[in-house]
Amino acid sequence: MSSSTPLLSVDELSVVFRRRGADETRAVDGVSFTLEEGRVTGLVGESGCGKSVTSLALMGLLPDRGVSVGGSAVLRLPDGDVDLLALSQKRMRDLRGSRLAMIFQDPLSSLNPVVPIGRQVTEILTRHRGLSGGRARREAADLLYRVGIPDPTRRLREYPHQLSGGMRQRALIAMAVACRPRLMIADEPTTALDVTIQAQILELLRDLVVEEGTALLMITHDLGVVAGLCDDINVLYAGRAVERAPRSRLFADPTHPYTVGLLGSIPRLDAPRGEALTPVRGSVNDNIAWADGCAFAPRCDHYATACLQGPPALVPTEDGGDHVHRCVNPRADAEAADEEPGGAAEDEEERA
Amino acid sequence: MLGGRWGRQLDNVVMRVIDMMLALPTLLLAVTVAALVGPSLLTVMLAVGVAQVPIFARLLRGAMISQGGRDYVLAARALGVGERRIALTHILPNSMGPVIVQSTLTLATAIIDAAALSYLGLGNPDPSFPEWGTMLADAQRFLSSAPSLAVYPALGIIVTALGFTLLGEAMREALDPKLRK
Amino acid sequence: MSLLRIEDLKVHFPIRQGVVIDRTIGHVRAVDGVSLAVERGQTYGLVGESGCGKTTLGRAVLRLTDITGGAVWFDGRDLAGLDARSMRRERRRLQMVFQDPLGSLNPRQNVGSILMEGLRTHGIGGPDRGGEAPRGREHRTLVLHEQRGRVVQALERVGLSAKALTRYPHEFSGGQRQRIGIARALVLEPDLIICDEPVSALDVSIQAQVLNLLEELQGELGLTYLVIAHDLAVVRHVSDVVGVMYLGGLVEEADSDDLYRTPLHPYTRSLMSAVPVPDPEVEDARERILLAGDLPSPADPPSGCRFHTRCPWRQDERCATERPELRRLEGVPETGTHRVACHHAERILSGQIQPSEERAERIVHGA
Repeated sequence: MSSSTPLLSVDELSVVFRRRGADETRAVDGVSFTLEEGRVTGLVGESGCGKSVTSLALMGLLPDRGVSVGGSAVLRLPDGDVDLLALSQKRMRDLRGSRLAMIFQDPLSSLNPVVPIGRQVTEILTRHRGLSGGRARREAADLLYRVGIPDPTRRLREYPHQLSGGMRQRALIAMAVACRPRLMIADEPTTALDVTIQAQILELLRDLVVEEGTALLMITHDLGVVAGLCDDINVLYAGRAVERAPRSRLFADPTHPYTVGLLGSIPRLDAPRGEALTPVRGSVNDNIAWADGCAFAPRCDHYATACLQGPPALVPTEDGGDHVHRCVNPRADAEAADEEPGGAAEDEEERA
Repeated sequence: MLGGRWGRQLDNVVMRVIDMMLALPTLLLAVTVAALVGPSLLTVMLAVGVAQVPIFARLLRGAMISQGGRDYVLAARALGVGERRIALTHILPNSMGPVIVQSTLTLATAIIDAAALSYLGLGNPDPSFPEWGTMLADAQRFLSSAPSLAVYPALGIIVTALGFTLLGEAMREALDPKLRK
Repeated sequence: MSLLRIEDLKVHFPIRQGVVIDRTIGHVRAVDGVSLAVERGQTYGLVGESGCGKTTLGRAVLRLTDITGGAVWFDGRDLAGLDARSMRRERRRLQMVFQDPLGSLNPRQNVGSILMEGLRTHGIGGPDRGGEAPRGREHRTLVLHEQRGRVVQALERVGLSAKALTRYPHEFSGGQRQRIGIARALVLEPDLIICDEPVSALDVSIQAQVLNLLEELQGELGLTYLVIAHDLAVVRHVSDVVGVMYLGGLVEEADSDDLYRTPLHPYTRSLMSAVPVPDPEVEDARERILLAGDLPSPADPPSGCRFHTRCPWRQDERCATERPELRRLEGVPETGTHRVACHHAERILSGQIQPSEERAERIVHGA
């Protein structure tokens, strides 16, 4: 698509959790994508798909024990490329906050409750940009103002609990952008917020990307948020990408049965009332291992014996180009319409 | 102590009394009770028991208040289940976890407290009545010549305390369906 | 006659302060004068953001929280005036489905015991329904047998089987747990089920399963629903009539399609513009009304119209001084049963009043 070299190239990232006395869990199982400056890349999926673990792995925030991380994540820096997965703890700490920034889902637990907002912002400025005292405070107030917090000098003296949810998320974004990071990872940044506040925050993120040329990795379960914000979208299922496309292709012409199922599960505000939803049956627990075949096969309305013969590969769709999917038996649109809905409960029941 | 679930005024009064009891050292409280009733085995048991009440009351009250706000309690109320039944069948069983843990820890200290009371002469006055605390106190005088006299009662206390701890752990597992295999 | 009619319902929570002796220093007006009616066999959807009082309203209908004022007419009886005993009996006919499927199931009860509880409480089952005292073991077996039958039937209705009876809540997936929660409500054969955020804790693909299930059950059993949710798309999908709440009051009420086609209240318009649609073309073309600031505190609500502090259409006259009533539009007959609580709704609809740019959210970006 774009010819410029990507800012971050994630290649075959895998994260395996090992706990004593339990089977190992492959939370992320070979995920590859690239991030480019001034673009938003989305990782979409439901609980357990590995989207959050991916972000933690990139930020070096996974625990050391019982976790093994594989693959590579090469970040382009002015003084040469580095592999984020191979960096020392110390290098990683320096990069976090300066080149990389992360925004979490729950703004309250991401802020220190006993330290005023101002100190938490100036601390970053002092540490990564070497600003001191008055200059750091002025810059902090300016940052809060830029993310849309009114009366920033007063807010700087307040504690996190005195701010509303939306204001806290803005403060976190202010802290994230304090050092003008080239790469930002937002993990469900609006899930805990009301929709009118969500709209404000998404607008803010969109502007940061457009005006500062930041690369944003957006992690969410909400396809609506993705449709409005992301340029390129990866749909994850059970630790692997099952479909990747630019947003116009993904929503207009989804090819993987899981993506089709997700889109059919969402009540749309603009759909006429009474239009039936076509849910995916079963639950995310009803998977098979990727090694044995398509993990989604047990929930798929469209599976064939070919689906259970070894792991399917990520291949170009009929659109070709940058629209790829991991499916050996993709559903054509005409067939999708004939499929009878319902049967949602039965398969889930089999497990009970 | 279940009273903590009903009536704000009653709860307030009960908890202030409990707080006052908590302010006194356990042993002092036990000594007071023992001194009031006179030395005997029953006294020791009663004294040590009463001294532990406030801790359990606080613990149980806290757990019950936090469980009382949970959705399943609301759900039971929405079914039309009476308050007394909700307290006994829903809130109490789910509040017992911390209490059981605390009780196993307390049993060990209770044995030591009982021993201390006996040492102070507030235990069973009958010297022919075997009691680890009394034995330990007696053994003190012969510590250099016959250390085994002190070691065995002490070992007895330790093993018993450990046994109760394991018992508590097992009880917690047996009562919680999530831990049951 | 409406199955449920709420009149001027008020729920105020006292704010207490003090170390030893509590003093009441104010009130949170969680629900502050709401009137609405739910027709038999229909679904009324109540939508609003956190802190608008929608959950409190649902609980107040069931008297799970104390009612400060107003009436709740259910099938001709005022629930607000019932004593605790009669209210408990009445709960057989009004049930509730909760948001958190795991939290609303007692972790120490198996599914059978969870589902039986309501039947036992209300003494349902067995040959004599006349309220005579049960006689002997034979009778108890009969009762138990019938209760079990009802429980299994309810489980099957929600797509689970009798195998689930001996299992515990933690052994099920989120969607299955919510099905158990629905079965618990169904077992009592209620007339009205209040669904408080029935799908918001579930994964997207599971949400659709549960929404479809609720619709199927309504078709089969003729249930009436009061669905409470923050997601306007979900509420619009399931509801015949939608009510929009803001800061303890109902600001707009309309038929689901009417509300979407012509939202009248400025708050509804901004809420609607903020709901993401999974379609890039729609997303790119939409008008967005970003609200300024945050929700004011329900302990100290703004004077006049509760929304005037954030409203882009605010006028100098009346908005800050006079609280608008929920009313039909004047001179616009095609809006039918559509009701709105805004002094200037007609002039906003006709475009005579335009939103002020200054009052929309200001987002300033640096270099």
